[in-house]
Amino acid sequence: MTPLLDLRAITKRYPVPGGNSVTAVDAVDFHVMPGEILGIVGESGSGKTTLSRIAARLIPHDEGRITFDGEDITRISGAKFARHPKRRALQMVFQDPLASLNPRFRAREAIGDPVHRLGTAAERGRAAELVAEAARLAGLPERLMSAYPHQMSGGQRARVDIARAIVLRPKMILLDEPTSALDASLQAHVIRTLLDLRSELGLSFIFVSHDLNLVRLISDRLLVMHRGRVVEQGVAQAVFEAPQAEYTKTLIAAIPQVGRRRSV
Amino acid sequence: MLSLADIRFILRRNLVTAIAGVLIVVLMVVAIIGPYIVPHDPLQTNLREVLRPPSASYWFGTDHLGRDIFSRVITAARLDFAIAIIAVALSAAAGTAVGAFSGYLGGWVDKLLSRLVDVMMAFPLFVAAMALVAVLGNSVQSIVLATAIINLPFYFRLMRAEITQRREAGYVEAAIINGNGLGRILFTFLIPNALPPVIVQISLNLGWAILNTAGLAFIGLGVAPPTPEWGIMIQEGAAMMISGQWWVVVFPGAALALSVFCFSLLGDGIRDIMDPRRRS
Amino acid sequence: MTRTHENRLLEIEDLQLGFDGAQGLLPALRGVSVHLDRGELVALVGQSGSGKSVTGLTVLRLLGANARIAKGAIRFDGQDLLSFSERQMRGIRGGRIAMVFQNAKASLNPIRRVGDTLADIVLAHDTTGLSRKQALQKVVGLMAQIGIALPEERARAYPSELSGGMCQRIGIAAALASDPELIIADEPTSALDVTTQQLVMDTLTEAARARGVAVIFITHDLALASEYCDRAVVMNAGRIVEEGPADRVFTDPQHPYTRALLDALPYGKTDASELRPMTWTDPEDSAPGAEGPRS
Repeated sequence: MTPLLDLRAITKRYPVPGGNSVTAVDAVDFHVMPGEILGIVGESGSGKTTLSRIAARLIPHDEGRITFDGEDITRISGAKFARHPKRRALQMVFQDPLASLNPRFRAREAIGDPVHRLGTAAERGRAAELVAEAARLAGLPERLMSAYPHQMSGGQRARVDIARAIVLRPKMILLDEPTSALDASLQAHVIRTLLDLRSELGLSFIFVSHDLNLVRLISDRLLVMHRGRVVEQGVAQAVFEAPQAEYTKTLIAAIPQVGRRRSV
Repeated sequence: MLSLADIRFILRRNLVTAIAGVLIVVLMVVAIIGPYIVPHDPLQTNLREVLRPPSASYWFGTDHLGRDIFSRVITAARLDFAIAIIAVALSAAAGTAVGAFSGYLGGWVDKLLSRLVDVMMAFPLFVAAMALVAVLGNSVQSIVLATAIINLPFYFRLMRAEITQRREAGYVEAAIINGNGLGRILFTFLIPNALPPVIVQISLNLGWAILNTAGLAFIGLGVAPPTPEWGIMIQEGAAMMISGQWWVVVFPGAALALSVFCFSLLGDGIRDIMDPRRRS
Repeated sequence: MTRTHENRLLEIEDLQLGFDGAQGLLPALRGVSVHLDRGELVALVGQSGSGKSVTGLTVLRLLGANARIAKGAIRFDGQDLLSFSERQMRGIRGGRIAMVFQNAKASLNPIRRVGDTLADIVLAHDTTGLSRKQALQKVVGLMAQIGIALPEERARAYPSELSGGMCQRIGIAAALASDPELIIADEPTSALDVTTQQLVMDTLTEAARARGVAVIFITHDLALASEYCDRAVVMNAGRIVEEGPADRVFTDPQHPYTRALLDALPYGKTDASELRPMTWTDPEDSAPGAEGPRS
């Protein structure tokens, strides 16, 4: 089986004042198989956010090759990729749905936007039907379809964002801290919805998060990032039970656990 | 655009804005229908009625040529407002579009445009307006154009700042993921969300533009006598202040001050209304 | 129920409080009773809107003008804080009761060196006539005591030159600078990464234990509460649903709300299918809690 998304030797530098540059992502390799959930964990500044945006073709990278769904998309710029036929297959769910939804779009318009931009003529013709179906799958009640983002709760906005991501039945969704703005109960709701969608629609996920407890439960495989590099990758359960890299050990030891006392 | 809740909010918390808004509507109506309802011909001189103080037949008195000041003040509103509104509309439209484009693209285009605007802003505005009118020719069109040009940098900067700040907003990323191109990102996602501060600026700016028009006329640019215009009337009346004929300058001055004041109040009020965070 | 307890530092009794809003009075606390002994570390745990932060702010009387206290008492060292004048409260705030904020960087004056900010606090509460230089020395000593490396250099830095974690530890030093008896820490680590979080929590709890300072630790993180605190008080919708020893409350929860909360969180689970969205609602609360707008 060939990977759905394959990134090789990805490097991204940001210029800093004074003519130098910092390397945010340093020669990173990873792939995601069809139907797989890859977890990317790391602390702020680890490069996980930059890497996920490169993988989503939102920002350009400096070096390395990206293959998605059998096609080399390295040379296609982000702006060009926005109109590319593969765009619809590679979608993203954002961290803060209040920020990622256009404040002036009703739920119906937000979910329908990809259909009008990326759908085929046939799909555009039955846009209303597709939007209703996506909303149903994401668990968004019909009565909210005319609501604006600021009129919805955090959980409802998350569902609009998920519905928008699945409306054109993509193959892969990048989830960038999709539940970090939510309460415990809503987080459980949204995670369950996402996992149900994965089995129903046969999706692959990249799940980017700083919540290691959650990543452990969700991911098949895990990528641990530190200062722009991948310090460890492997089967999620194995990494948590027997971390190899020093950094991973420190990281896992720092995760708060219920019922454990810190010696102070 | 205004919902019932907005109107209730304005009336409850912001009576001053409501009053300013009503006054502006009244001033606009006066500007439009004024020339048809004034009691006297604003250009008609009458050497037998020179410098009469306010009375039942001449509400605001008469000037040194015996013209009815009330009729002239009312008739002038149309010209002053028209110049200000057209000029501000031009600079808001152009400044906003160019600012949005520059802010979103960034890079050398942005740098070049920003420096150009900095150069424009380096001149004192009124002096720049004078110079422009001198170059473009002494006409009403020149006043409109000059006022539009000197205001352009404010809209450019405002929009550019708003767009730069929103360029990396989540919904712009989502728009790219959804397959939106540059034009749609700018005109459907970014500009509508960045408009509220521009609308505030327009309202504040209108008052300023009226003042600017009157100021240019005061020093003899743009509009020429005997056209009824507040700046010219103030200029003509200034000398008579000393000899005791206060009404010649006070009424056009009051009309000018009232208009500027109302637009400023309205601008402040709109800022409160547009920013829901300032409500609770 | 007034008890005399020589070790009792703070006693909140049946506190009922609401906020005046456009739709009338919005209840925030519906009868909250919490007590705290000297040197005790107590966690107030709850989801957003549970009333945990409001409880902390009420102790310092830092609520907005639209807060209405309907009932209850807050006794600090035997004195009723609710009867204090604003002037008397200013003596308490940042003095006998200090606060650590979620974002210390924002709570430190950006145009002053952090050492100066801290020296101001020392001088404001000093009764022995310290000079400014001595106050600065005390600040540097304090920073060293709580494990900040290169304290002299850090004291000369501006908040913007320091990392979020470092600012948070400076915030702890600022709270300790007035020799308080109680520190209220409102989500002091929720903006930090886990490794930094551990460092900041270690710093806070070690310093508090060493000085016998009591801490009210306000958090949504059950695990963090259970790791660092003596007692945990679980709040939901303005009420206390359960309290007990911090490690016991979350390993052997008695109240259905606490159980439901733990079922929704990843702790101790091996598969995501074990995550159970909460269905429990307060029987006294007619409004459904699951998908309502968040406050």
